[in-house]
Amino acid sequence: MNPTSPFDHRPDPVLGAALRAALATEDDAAFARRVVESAEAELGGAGLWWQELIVWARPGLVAALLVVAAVGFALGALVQGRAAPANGATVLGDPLTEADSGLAVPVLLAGEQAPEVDLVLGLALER
Amino acid sequence: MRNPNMQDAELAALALAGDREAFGELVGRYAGQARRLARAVLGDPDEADDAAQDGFLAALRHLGRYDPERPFGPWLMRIVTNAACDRRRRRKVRAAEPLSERLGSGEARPDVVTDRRGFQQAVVAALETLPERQRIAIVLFDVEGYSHREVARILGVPEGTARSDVFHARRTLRSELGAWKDWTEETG
Repeated sequence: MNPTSPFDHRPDPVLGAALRAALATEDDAAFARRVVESAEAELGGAGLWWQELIVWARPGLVAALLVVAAVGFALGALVQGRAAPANGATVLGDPLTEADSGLAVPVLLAGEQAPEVDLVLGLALER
Repeated sequence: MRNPNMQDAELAALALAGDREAFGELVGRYAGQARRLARAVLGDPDEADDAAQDGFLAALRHLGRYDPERPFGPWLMRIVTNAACDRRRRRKVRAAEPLSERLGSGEARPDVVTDRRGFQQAVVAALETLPERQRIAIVLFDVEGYSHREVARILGVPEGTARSDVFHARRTLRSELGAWKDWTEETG
């Protein structure tokens, strides 16, 4: 065999040639055609761009779910806020039309005599 | 056929865009290397071809991850190496008896079977005696002409380890094939 040192940084041409001959392959062109046909069968007519999309599909799906969850949460909070305002929120009403008091407008109007102006104004200011 | 001067990176970009002809050109350029490498790992030529094909298809699927600033060969050979090693690990029962058992028994003496085919079988048998990584390293270095650094990158080991693998592989092969010295000098 070649007398060159095993530490030689260059390829050993004799050993290389012997290995190349021993590992020789036949008809590389036919092999290449077979590989290309397999690639076409596997990937179809599409390009490889969708393969890249597949790589990003999972994180993209997770991100989309997070966005949907956040929007849903926000909408839910908004709807709930309209139905039951938080404590301390200002509620506007008309004291003259509320009937939970014995001196409410319907009571005042029920009598035959018109109510006194001072009484009506006093009630409104108390509320 | 594409322009043979077209760079691998250009062909890879075209193949990534769906150009089958460009992919075919790349396969044609590296078919021999890939098949020899797979055969060095697996021994059986048919299985080696299947592994090499697996490697090419895996490379095609992951072409988007190829860095065009780097040489294409080592990137592809790493994928082919992985495909061959995976197949070897999955293999439960060898399809054929190892050549080393048939040829290493002493019955096929070099002075008796002094033909080229016998020598080639002896080389394959000697290769079979090497650990898998050494086998890959010496084929990449001495047959395919990759540098120690590239061999290290393909194998995923430090450069010093790749050098050591090549050294030990050479020493073992020279020892195993020592009896063929005269024949190779006469015919090589």
